[in-house]
Amino acid sequence: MFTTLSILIPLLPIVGFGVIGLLVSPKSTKLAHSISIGLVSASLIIAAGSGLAYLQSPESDKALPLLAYNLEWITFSSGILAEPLVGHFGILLDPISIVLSLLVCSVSFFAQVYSIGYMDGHPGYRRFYAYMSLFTGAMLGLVLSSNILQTYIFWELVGLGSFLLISYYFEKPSAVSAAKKAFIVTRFADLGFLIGLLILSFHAHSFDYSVLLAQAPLMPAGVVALACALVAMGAFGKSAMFPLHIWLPDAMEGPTPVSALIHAATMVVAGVYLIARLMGVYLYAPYVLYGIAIIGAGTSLFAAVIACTQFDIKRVLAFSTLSQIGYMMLALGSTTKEFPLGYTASMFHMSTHAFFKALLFLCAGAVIHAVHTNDIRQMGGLRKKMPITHLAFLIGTLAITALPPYLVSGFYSKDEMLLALQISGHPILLSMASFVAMLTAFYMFRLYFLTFWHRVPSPNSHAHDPSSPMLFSLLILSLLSIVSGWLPFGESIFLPGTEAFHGHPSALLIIGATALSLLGSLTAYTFYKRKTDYPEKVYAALGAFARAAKDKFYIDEAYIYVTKQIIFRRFSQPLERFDRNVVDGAVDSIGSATRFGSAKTILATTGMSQVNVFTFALGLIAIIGFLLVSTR
Amino acid sequence: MTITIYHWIALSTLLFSIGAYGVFTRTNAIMALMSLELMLNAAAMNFISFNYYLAPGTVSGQVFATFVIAIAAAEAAVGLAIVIRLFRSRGHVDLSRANRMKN
Repeated sequence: MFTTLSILIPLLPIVGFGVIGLLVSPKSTKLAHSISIGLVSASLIIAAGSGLAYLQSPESDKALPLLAYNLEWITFSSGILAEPLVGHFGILLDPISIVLSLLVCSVSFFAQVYSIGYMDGHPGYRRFYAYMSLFTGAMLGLVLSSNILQTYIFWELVGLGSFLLISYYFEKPSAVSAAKKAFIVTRFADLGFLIGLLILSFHAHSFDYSVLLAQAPLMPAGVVALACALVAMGAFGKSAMFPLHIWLPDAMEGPTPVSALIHAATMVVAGVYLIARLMGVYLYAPYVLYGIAIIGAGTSLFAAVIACTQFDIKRVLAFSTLSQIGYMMLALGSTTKEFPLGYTASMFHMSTHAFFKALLFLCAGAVIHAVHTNDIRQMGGLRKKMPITHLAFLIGTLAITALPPYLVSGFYSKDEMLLALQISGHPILLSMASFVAMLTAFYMFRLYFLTFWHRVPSPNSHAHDPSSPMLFSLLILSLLSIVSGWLPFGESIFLPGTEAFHGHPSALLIIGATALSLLGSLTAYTFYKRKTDYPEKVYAALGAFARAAKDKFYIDEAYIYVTKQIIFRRFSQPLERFDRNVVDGAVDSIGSATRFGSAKTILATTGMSQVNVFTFALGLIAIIGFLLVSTR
Repeated sequence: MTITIYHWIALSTLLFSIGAYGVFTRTNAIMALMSLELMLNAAAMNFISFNYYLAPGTVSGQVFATFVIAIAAAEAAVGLAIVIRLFRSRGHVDLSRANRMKN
C-alpha cells in the first residue's frame, strides 16, 4: 500500500506550497505552520511506510531499486534519434533514496517546528513556511526521482527554493547579493550537469537510471568519462566543492533554520547523492572518480583551515559543512568495484552529518536568538545561562569530532570512511582525511569553548534557553544525532551488485583517529577555555598563511578579478560595443531612413481638398493612359 | 442636320469638363458641390445616349441613369450636410481655408 502512496511524498509539500502561498491569509500564521508541518509529517509517515515496504520486497536483499511509479510524461522524437526519447515521472525506491527522503522529511520537520519559535513575529512568516514546503517537496522529488531528467528538474527547483530562502530578508542588500551569488554559481555548474545528462541519455537512448546503469558498460570510455565529469561539475556546484564553494558561506545570510535544512543537511548533499545514484556509471570512469576523491579531500582540508580562522558562528559551521561534504566526496571517490565500502561510508556519513549538523545550526540559531550577534568573540560564558542548548551543542560537537565516548553517530560514519580509504589503498588521501579530522576537532571545540566557556567583558545577562518548540527540536535532534550511528548501515546500504560489508575498522585506525581528534580538541581547550594569548601568537607565527586563511584564501577576490577584469572587460564590453554600434545601429538606421523619407513626403499633404481631388484626377488619367498604352 | 451619338458625347464631355474645372477651381464649397453634380449628370447623359444609339429597345442605360440621379441626390444631401457643419463650426465655406488635415 505504501509503495502506491509513495508518489504523495514529494507531492504533499508541493501542494502545501500552493495552498499556503495562495489561499492562506498572511495574518493566519498558525494555519500556515500547521499546514506545512502537517504535510511534511504526512510525507515522513509515508516515507517510513515505503521504507518498510521496500525492506520486505525481494529487491532489498541486493539493494536493487524498486520502481513504485513510472508515468510517461513527455516524448522527444527527432531525426537523429533512432527511437523517441521518453521522459518519465517516477518514484524510485532503493536504500539510498529511502534513507535520504527520511532524512529530508525529518530534518525539515524539526527545522519547521523550530521555526515556530525562531521566526515568531516576522512579517514574512507565511512566506517562510510556503518556501520551506516548496523546498521540501522539491528535495523529495529530487531524491525519489526515477530518471535523470526528473532529477534535473527538481535539482533546479531546490536551487530556486534555496534562492528564495537565502533572500528571505530581502530588505538586506547582503542577503540579496548572497542569493544571487548562490543561484548564479549553481546555475553555472548545472550547465555542466545538463550537458552531461544529455550526453548520457543520448548514448543510452533513455533518461531512466536503470537503463543508464545497464548501458554504461557498452558506451565508449571517453564518452562516459566526459559525461561523468560534466555531471560531477553540477554536483560540485550544488555540494559547494572547491572551486565552486564560494556561494555556501554567503548563503548563511538566510534564516538559521534554512541554513540547517538546506545548507547543511539536505540540498548541499544532493551532489553527493547524484554521484552515488550514478555510481554504476562512474565505475566506468575511474579517473573521474579519482578526481572527485582528490577534489573532495582538497575541499575538506581547505575548508577546515578556513574554519579555524573565522569568527562568525554560522560561517564556521558553513566551512565545517564544506569540509564534511568534502569527506563524503572523498569516500565516494574511493569507491571501486572491488572495494565498494566508500559508497556505504559516504551515504552513512551523509545521514549522520545531516542530523548533527542540523543540530549544530539550530543550536547556533538559539544562541544568536539569545545574544543577537553572530560574532563568537562577543558570546562566551553561555554554558550556565543556556544549559540545554549547551548540552545539545556539545553532543553535536562530539558527533562531528568522533571523540569518545563512542556513543554519538559521527564516530561510526567517520571511521567507516577512513576504513574505506584504508582498504581501497589511498594512503595519502587517508592521511589527509586524518589531518582534517584533527582540524575539525580543533575548530569545533574552538567554537564550543568560545561560545559557552570563554569569559567576555560584557556578559550577556539576559540570555536564556529558547522557547519550547525550539527546545523540542534541539532535544529530538540530539537524540537522533546519537542513535543514527547505531543503525546497521552497512547491512542494507551497499552498492547494487556487490555484497554487504561486515568488517570493522581495526583498533589501530580507531586509536589513531581518536588520538588526532583528541590532540585537536585539547589544543582548542588550552587556547580557548580561558582567555590566553596563544591564538594571537600562533596567528602571528603563521604569518601570511594565516592571513590568507582568514580571508578565505582570496577565492572570492579571484572570482571578482576573473569576472570583472577578464570576462567583463575583455569579452562583454567589446560584445556590448558591437551590439550597440552594429546591431542596434542597423535597426536605428532603418528608423532614421523612414523618418527622413517621411519628412520629405509630408510636404505633399496640404490638407486642401481640391489639391487632393486634382491629384486624384491626375492619377486616374495616368492609369487610364497606362491601360490604353498597354492594351494596344 | 441629324443628331448623332457624337454630338451627345461632345455635349457630355463639355459638361464633364466644365464640372471638373469647377471642382478644381471654386473655393466655395457650394459651387464645388454644384460642379460635382454637373459631372455626374454628364455621366448619366452618356448612359442614355449609348443606350439609345447602341442598344435601341432596351432600358438598361436608362435604369443606370436613374440610379445615378438617385446617388447624386444622396450625395448632394451628404455634401450639403457637411457644408452646413463646416459653416456652423467655422463661419465660412471656403475650401482653401479648410485645411486642418495638413501635415
